[in-house]
Amino acid sequence: MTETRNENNKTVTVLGIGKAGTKIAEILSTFPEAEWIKVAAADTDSSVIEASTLKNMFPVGIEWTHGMGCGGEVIKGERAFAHFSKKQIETFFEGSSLLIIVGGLGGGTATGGASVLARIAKKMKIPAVFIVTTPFSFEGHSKRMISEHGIKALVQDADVVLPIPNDILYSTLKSDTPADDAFKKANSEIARAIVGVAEIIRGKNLLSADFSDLKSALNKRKSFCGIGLGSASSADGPNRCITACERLLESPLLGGVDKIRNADVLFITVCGGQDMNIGEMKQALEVIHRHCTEKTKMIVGASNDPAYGDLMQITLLAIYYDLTVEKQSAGTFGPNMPKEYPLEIVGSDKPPVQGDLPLMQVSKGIFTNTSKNIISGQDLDIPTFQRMGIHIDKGK
Amino acid sequence: MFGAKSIITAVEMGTSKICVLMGRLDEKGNINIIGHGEKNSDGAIIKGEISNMEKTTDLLFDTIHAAENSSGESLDVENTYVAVTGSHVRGSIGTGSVVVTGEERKITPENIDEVTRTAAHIPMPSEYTVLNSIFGNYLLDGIRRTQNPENQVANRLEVSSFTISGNKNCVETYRIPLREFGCENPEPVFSGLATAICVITDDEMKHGVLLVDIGAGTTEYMMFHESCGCSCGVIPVGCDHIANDLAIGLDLNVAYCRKMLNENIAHANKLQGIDHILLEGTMEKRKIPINSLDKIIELRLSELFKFIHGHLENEKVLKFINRGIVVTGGGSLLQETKGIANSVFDCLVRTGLPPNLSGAVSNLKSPRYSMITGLIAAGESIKRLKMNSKEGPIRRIDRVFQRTWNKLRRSAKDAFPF
Repeated sequence: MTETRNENNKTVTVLGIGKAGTKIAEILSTFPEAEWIKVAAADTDSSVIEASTLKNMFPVGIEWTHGMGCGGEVIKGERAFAHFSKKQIETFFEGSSLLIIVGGLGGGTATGGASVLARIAKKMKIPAVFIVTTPFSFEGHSKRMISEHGIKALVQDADVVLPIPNDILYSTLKSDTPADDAFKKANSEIARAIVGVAEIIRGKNLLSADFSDLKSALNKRKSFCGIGLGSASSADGPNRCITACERLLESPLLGGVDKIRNADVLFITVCGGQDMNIGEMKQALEVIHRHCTEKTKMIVGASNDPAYGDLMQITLLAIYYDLTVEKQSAGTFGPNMPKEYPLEIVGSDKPPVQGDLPLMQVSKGIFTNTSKNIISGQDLDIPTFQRMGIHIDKGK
Repeated sequence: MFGAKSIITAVEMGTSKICVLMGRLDEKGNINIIGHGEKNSDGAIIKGEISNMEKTTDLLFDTIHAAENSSGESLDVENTYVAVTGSHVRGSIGTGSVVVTGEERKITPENIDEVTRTAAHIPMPSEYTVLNSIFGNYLLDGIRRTQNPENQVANRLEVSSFTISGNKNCVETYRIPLREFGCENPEPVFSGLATAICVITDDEMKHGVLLVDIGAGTTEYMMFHESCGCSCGVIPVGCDHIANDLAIGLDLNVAYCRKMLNENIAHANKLQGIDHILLEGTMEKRKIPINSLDKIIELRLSELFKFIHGHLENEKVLKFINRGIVVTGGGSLLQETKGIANSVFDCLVRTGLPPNLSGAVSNLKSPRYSMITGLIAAGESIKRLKMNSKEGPIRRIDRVFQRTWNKLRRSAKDAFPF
């Protein structure tokens, strides 16, 4: 097991778990700019372990699962990591400044293993970022539920959880894109995003973005994440910065430019070689700034490393809070119902009396079968007075 | 092809009406309207989006036919302009800068062309296309401001731009019905910009003004400062939403609610001291309190203005509204609109009307026609630009456009002071 440390003795460890995580870790290990990152993968399936090109590959719970994987059972994944490989993993994590765990939720190994790893990281007091993909909607309700529960469990112990819905791929890629290409591109983008996240802990930052910034921005809230990635070198034309920005906006895992506008937090890292100049950094950040609103919290980091050569890479994590969780916990029902319902009856001289129960039937009238009209989480086709819970006197 | 006498055709495919105007700008800068055709959209267009293409094409055929009949001229397929709207439309501010080379560092038309192109080049996703670009004042050596930098001496020439872009597919959907009439490449113009050409004065545009065009299905807003755009957008809410709210809230028919709004029945009753609207039908007899109507309208309009306020606040341009707000479109005819805009933004509000029109058609002096008359002026300036430009089909609106605009604004200012 080799350890590569950077100048400030800060080690970033990336661990891919499950089949999807292993693939991403493999791609990451091929990047020259990721040489300073310690990359490994762990799986319960011996066929994946044998096929892997990674130097550090952990078979977890092989004796127990007989190398056949978890078969989608979360409890098996959890036990494999917790009982059979805990010490091995702890040794591997030792001395790390940041852990990045990557995997695809919905199966057994990653969903079960992630929460165990979160607890290990918490115990070892190492900050951990979990970049996890959630299943496509066509994979069925049960897989979605498994991943939902997985995230819920993970949020409790992990510092940062960045769930990326696989469905986001549809929003930018054409439907005739070969499936193989789509997945390869998605995996490669996640691998590149890992480099972007890893750069925050690095000592060579030109613009510093602290890990605590990201941690406090997420603040244990359930969220979703889109990854935008653009890289360009001098060979791509005279203005590599603009080219990189254009590629970022078209990034398949970002899900369109609207995702930037609607994001609650934008985490941006700009990385390049020694020739990256301040004008390019400014230009890149200005382009992104143009697409977001004032309410968006922006965390910006920039660093340079000769390993990038003449390549310039902009990584963007667009994070949105899952508001449905907060709404459910607040006990509300119906679209944006106020917590207190007014007693006012408009248009009447009578003293205010208790109105109908808040179970007011919302209706869209002539807009019933038209395209959705949602701004700031509100369906504007529903009359304003209904959304505000105001009762109208219809007359006699 | 682009002769001075050629006729501009402006096409509006709106939620309430499909309207075609044929006209041109005369030597004095007045809009000369020679043909007008109009049909009720009848549900073919909902919230500014074409929902029934076949019906839209049929209605457009009738409308163009009516416009051709009233003008006695046929449609000039090379000079047709179509208004584009929808929540996909957005604006971006850009800047361009070039180093002036050459022996005497004198600014040439080529320098101006280059700087405007650089300013208009905004990185955007592949599914977006540029609709229009407008440019502010030029800056020489980072210090001197000028409207026309040609032949001036400087080391560096800069300009700020405002580029309006829209989703390619959505823009294309507006152009497809016109192809049926042999009009292969109708020029799209953002409807908010077209309206601004007609109703915003020179002084307002320089010092900062907000234009709000409340249509039947959508509301476009556009903000100007320093003679250039600085924010724009479309909120998919219009008068149809108010009619729908009334229909749901008061258990009425939508058509009757539209009639109530168009005829301002509530206001007329209020003036007579009646506090209700008497509903007499075969099924029921009911007295609807006018307060109920007022409340529904107020809630919807104030929400709409608050959305615009929020957007401008996010884009940090709210402070530029120095000359107040200009409301136009069918929604500006409602009694409550100006008061609500005033209470949300706390500034002067006036209604924007089309400027003095000449020509055979004269019944267009209503805020409902601000956009379509502005589209004629926009078309005229794009046409002139095309004649003078070697640069191909980039849809930009610049100095020629602004000269036309200045003339129009002057007449508008005289006609409609605050």
